[in-house]
Amino acid sequence: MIEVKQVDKSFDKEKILKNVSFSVQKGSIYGLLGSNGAGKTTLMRTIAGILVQDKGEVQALGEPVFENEQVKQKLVFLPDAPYFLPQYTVKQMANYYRGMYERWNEERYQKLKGVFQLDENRKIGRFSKGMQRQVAFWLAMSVMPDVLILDEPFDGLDAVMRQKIRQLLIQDVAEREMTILISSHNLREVEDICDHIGILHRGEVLLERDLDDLRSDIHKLQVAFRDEDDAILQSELDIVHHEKRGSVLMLIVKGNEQKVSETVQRYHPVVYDHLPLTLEEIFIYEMGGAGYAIENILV
Amino acid sequence: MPSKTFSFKKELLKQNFRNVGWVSIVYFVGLLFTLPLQLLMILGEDIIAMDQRHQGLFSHMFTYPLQFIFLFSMPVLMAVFLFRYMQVKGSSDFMHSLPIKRGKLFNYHMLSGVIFLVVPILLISLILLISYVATDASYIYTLGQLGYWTLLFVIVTVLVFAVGVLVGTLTGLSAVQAVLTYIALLLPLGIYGLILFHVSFFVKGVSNWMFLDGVEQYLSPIYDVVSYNAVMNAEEIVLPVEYPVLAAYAVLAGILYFVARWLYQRRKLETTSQALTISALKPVFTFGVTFCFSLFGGMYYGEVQNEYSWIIFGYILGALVGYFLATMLIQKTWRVFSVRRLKGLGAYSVATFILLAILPFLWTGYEQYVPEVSEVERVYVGNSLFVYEDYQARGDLSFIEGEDGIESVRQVHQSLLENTTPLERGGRNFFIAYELTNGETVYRSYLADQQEVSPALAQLAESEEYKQMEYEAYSLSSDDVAIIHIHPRFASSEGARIVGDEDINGFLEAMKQDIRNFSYEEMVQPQGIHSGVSMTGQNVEEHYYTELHYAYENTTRWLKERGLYEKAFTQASSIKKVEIYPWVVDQPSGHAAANQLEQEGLEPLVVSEPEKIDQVLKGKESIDKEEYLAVFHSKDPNYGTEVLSFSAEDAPAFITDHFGGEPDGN
Repeated sequence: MIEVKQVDKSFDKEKILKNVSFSVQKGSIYGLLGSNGAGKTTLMRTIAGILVQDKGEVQALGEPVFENEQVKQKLVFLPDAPYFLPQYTVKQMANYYRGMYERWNEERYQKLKGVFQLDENRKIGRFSKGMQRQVAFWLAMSVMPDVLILDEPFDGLDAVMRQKIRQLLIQDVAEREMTILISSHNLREVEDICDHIGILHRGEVLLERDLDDLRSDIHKLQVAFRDEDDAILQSELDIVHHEKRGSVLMLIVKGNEQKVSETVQRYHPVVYDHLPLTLEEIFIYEMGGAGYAIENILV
Repeated sequence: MPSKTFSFKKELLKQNFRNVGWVSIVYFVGLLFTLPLQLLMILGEDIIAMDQRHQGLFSHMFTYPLQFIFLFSMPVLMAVFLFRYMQVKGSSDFMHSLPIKRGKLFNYHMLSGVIFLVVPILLISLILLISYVATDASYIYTLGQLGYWTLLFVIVTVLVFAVGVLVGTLTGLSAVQAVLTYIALLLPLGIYGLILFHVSFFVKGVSNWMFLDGVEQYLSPIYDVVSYNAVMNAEEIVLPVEYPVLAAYAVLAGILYFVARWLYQRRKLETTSQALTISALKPVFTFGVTFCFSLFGGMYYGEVQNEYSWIIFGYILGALVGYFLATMLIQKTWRVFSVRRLKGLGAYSVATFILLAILPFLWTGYEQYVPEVSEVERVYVGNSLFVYEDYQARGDLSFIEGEDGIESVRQVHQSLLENTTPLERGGRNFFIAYELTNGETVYRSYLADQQEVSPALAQLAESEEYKQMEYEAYSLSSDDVAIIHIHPRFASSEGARIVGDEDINGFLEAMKQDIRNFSYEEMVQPQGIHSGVSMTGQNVEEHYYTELHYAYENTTRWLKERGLYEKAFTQASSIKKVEIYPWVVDQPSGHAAANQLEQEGLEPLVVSEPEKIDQVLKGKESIDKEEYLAVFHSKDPNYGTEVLSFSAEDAPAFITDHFGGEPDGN
């Protein structure tokens, strides 16, 4: 649904995006992570057809986005600071969207009014930051987009509203196979909603993973052997990290769960526990040497 | 669903109106006060200045300067506020993420702007049209004038708006957009003027103000419209902007629209809130500013100091200021002074100075060019361009057309070339305008010491054609003149009166002979206080005027024979006293020098004896500083003073004796 191929983008002489490639499948929620200044917003503005890349291709719904009305009809970009026309009320803004987007769904709009419980006759400028963000979601969802691009979408929302919006997004993805690209500088904020994660660092994509694959691909094991035998460290297991606590050995192992289990069993452990890994840990181990790059996004 | 691609996005227009409708309203109200309400007041008055009618809606009655202020401010405000959205990141991102192509978005805004600007104008026109029909306003303006007013306002408004929009696509800051719009509207004219100034410091014959060939007004719409005042003339209908020019403005506005749209479609949105949106323009801009400021610095010090060392100082200072100003604007900070920038400063300065050095060479051919006699249809010689233009506007220019005359002018021209420098200081202004057979006009302007070019000037001044042109009496006879009245400067009587064909012919014939013999020296420094000769034509409406000089021997003899001499010339008996000063102040004009000498309280030699006054009356009307200055006071207090001067050699003995042979006298 979103296809970014070898995109370069510079502001003046400063390179912001370097050979960025990634793709988001239809009906998928993709989390774009990166610390401040990594180029997330620039990448999203390019995907939204606001900026034009210097090199490479940016497609959505199978077509280039830039200057493409048909694609942009079905693609909505929510910037980190939502913008509304000056002095407009929610209702006027809705009229504006209705005039601009063919797929505006009045029924949806009315339904969401009940969810957000905001006065649609009030000037948006007078709303609080969090309320403005709700209005932005309200309007964006009423357009019934096929692709939704959200830049730091949960900033300024309270926990209840966060949960509500998450529900709305997931519902749309489930019902109409909407595709979502979410950027965040915080992994925890998006880990429970995204199915894919990409990390952008200094304009480059460091890593791209399916979260389910990731979870099933890396394991934290606690094992203990008789005579405190460390022979397992020399086995064919792909051990990313190990630590010894007393007689217990903690291993971070990559690979198929079943295979790992079989291998470990061959060494006849006295203790064998399969512990859950937090996403945070997964990333730290996954990134290995590049770990420094993601520390910021894991806090 | 019907094809949505062509669906009209009325929400865009609606939003634009909410956003900038106020500009439209201010425009309407402003014009309402300057035109229809003004008309209402005029209609309420009983007496109307009828000559205003020629000016139609661009007259003082309709406070046209105020109209022009609206004309050049509202479209710029419109362009700035309407396109404000593209200068702010939030709104720019929002508008450009909407499902609408940039070209279309641009068109919607252009359309909104034009509608919001033109509707107020049309409404005012409509009100004026209704007023025209409903009241008897036809003696104040015609329908044609109303049509012209509407046309001019619509076209110039749209043009200025288009310039504002184009500039807006090049910059990412609204304030810069407004400032640069006005600069763009004035820039071609400004650069033309600055370059002329620059060249005039190095090339002879170039006048700083030689905005000629009529190109200057087309270089700037603002100048074009605003300079309308300068040629306002109740006698004939003068349009602020001529029709072909209006047509050109309309075409230009169209071209600007396409260029602006092209740029808008390619505009990089990440450059919002940068001074320049196109990186490639930054060096062009920096160079342009450096160059213009350098020219300006040179002009300033050239005008103030008139010395090459100061002019060069001006160029360097200007380049320095220009470079840093441009850099500050692009960097959006005043803290741009670093060693790193020296390289840029050096590069731009060198480029500027090379261009400055090259420019005068382009005028080499211009400087040396003196048209051949065969090329010249006729030629005008005078003191200044302004007098020339003034007379031209009145259709009152005298040209030299004969071959000998033209040759004499060429000699003067040649002599001016040989005897002047571009930075000539003081002296007299000479202005020559050749009208060539091929329809072109060649203009030259020089400042020169008259002494140095006097041989050539004498040849011209003593030529038959020049005298015919300069002295009206030369071509008159009793057929034209009914009464001649000679009035001395200080008259004890009414002066001399000559009537009757025989006497008139006799006087005119004698005068013609004298004029023919009148030498150049006598012309520039006539002896004695001359008398005025006014002639009333056979037709009482006709009047002629000439001067009667002591040097006119035949005329004096004729007057003596008729016993009119005493009445015709200023006599010692009508003079109360003469104050004689040594000319010690630096004033080239006699009257000004006399004033200053008097104010400084110098003790004059006062003469009141008729014999001595007779001697002093032989002094000269001088154009230059001399040794002594004589100030004549009439017995009749109604007359002012007259001034004559003496060189050390010509001065009567009692004067030189009094001042002890020392001209400084102290």
